[in-house]
Amino acid sequence: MTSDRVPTWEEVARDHGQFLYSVAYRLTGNVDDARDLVQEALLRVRRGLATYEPGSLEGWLARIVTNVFLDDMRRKKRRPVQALPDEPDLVVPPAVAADVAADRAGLSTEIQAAIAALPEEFRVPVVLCDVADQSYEDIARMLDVPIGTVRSRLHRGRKLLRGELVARGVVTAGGVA
Amino acid sequence: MSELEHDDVVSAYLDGELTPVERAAFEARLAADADARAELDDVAEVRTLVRGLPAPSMPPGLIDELLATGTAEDAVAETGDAAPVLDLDTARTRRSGRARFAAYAGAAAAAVALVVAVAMPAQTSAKPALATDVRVHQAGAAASGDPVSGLAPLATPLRFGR
Repeated sequence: MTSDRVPTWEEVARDHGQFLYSVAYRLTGNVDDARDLVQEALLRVRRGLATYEPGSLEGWLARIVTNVFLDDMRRKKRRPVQALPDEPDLVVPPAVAADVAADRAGLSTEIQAAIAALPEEFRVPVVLCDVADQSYEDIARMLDVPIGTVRSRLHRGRKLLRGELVARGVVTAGGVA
Repeated sequence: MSELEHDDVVSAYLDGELTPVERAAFEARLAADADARAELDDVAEVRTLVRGLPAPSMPPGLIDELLATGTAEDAVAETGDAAPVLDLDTARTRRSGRARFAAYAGAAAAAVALVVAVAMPAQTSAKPALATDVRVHQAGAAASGDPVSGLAPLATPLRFGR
């Protein structure tokens, strides 16, 4: 989306919350982390609106939510999360989005699981290109890597994803299963 | 090795990211190379599946909740006395903290139950010894006619050992 006017924070949250959540959910693969990502991204949007220059708003939002995701991944690598006890009655069950609950056995769940199985360096360009619909140039700028790197990681990511989908029986060598 | 010998040109072709010259060269290769066509079909299929995913449903009320939190933050800026907006780490810590609290509370209850279970047999075995001491002391006081001892039967020292 391109606009000459700087939107208010409330407008971003209401009009683009679903976009932020879609990117966040495809990156993280679960409702709780996606929710946290959206919350943090909107906080950064609030702080950053003063310096936002009208242009591709969704490109700007995709960059913010990706940065939040990558910051979080780096933090988790530095400080691994402690596992909770195994007793099922003591652990809060993860929340499940309505479409996931309704479509648990469906294609989209399998595809999401396959995306989540990708290493982060391939998952991010795939999500930015095929979910956030960003150009190679924009993705390269967001990730601070050359366009050639985006191109190769994206292609490798799609091939790895195909392998995951074949393993899950979603596609076969001859097409969709 | 030319650019087109890298297979990442397949994805770039599908995404419309090739220059006109690159695109023409790749299409010429497709016409002559069955492997390149198969690779294109494979990658196109995956790309179509991901792009065709429905938008995931947001948790009900998420945006309203975040907007309300943002409004509260505005109030903080104006009055300086409301709860601040949580950052990502704080939100996660609080959420996991609740689960951890429940887990720890359960573990603590189990530990207390264990201590009680271990301690109880010792207390049970002490009761007959104490009762016996009191009865012996009362009998001795009655036999000796000592009025002071008879008034203070519970002053008998407790003995938990045998």
